[in-house]
Amino acid sequence: MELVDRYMQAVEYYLPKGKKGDISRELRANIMDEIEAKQNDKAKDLDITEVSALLKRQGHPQKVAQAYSPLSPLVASEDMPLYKSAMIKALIFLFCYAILTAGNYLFEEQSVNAFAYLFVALGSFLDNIGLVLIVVTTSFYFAGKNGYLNKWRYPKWSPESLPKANAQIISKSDSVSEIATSVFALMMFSTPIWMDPISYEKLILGFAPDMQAWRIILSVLVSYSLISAVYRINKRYWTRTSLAVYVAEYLVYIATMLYLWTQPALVVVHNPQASDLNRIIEGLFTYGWLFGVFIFTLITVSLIRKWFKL
Amino acid sequence: MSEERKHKLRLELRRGVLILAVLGASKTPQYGYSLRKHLNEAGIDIDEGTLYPLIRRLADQQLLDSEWKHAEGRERRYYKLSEMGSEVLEQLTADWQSLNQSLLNILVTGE
Repeated sequence: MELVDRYMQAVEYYLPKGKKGDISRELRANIMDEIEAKQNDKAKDLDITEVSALLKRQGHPQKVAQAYSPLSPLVASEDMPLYKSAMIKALIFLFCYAILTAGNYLFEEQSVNAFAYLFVALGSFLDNIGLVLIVVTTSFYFAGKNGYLNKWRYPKWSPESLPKANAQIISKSDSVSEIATSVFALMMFSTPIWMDPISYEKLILGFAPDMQAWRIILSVLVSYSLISAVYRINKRYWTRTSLAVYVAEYLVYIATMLYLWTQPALVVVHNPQASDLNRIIEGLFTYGWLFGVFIFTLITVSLIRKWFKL
Repeated sequence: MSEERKHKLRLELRRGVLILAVLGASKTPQYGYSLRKHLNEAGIDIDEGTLYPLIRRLADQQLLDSEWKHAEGRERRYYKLSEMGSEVLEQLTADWQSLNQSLLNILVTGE
């Protein structure tokens, strides 16, 4: 019976503490019944090979333990769509945080090194991704175990509330890139708020003194874009209203850029030692506004065409 | 179709029916091995790895009552259909008969 003892010990290893004694006692009783029945059939004791074959037929100790006491999955299969959606949102948040961290690094280092920016952003993203994975998965595990996810699985719906058959899908990647751009832009516009005065004074570039009001105007505009992009992350299809509002947002940007094109330079060189850059910056902005108008007009035209198809 | 896939389909088909068979066979007290033998003799071949954990699950769901008994110099856990189990068995039997009849119609006449 040494083989049976070894087998039972192996099964017990995989059983939870609370159930170990009871399951083990029952499994042993069942195995002993099987052995006894075989011995009665053969009218002699089983040899070691026969006991081994009988135990092998029971299955791998881990498989047997799992059959008696199945481990509950961290996330149930019916909760996976919700989990995926929560994970995507958490990653978008992490992405924005990485952009802010990298932006902060560039501002503090007075650098325009794109590789350094990407390196810091990627480092921040990878640094936190494990924590996000653990937090989201653990939350789902406990919420699922206590039945809190039932009402979140499938929101209320009716066939009438479903999008029309020719509905246009909102691109998630567009919304994510808009969120990232808006977060970075807001960070740049609000440097006097979050930067310490000494670092702020050292900045090479900044808003022209007579254009400071644009800091607030652009911040309001970009904040609106950020909120609407976050809203669109949760929506799958365009409606005529939401697309019209989006077109209006682009038109406001085009008008703003055209107006700024007629105005003195928005951004100037603060540092007297880098005053040579002033002409370059001025040129960049003059053509930059026009280039922006051109790109935004192309996007607006494609959005209007999409609107007519709805 | 591969033999493995066919085997999986057969297992899927039998899964629900096995519960009915175990509940039906537990009208009289049974311990693990005796239940397996009983089902085997009735033409339902079920391996130990499936049957024994299934009995425990049904007991956890209070469809079977269980008690340890010493008999023939050995201790065994005996299972017997509980009151709730009897009600469930009655309902499942009616469902099975109705389903079986409908299935026969489909399989024989194709309607």
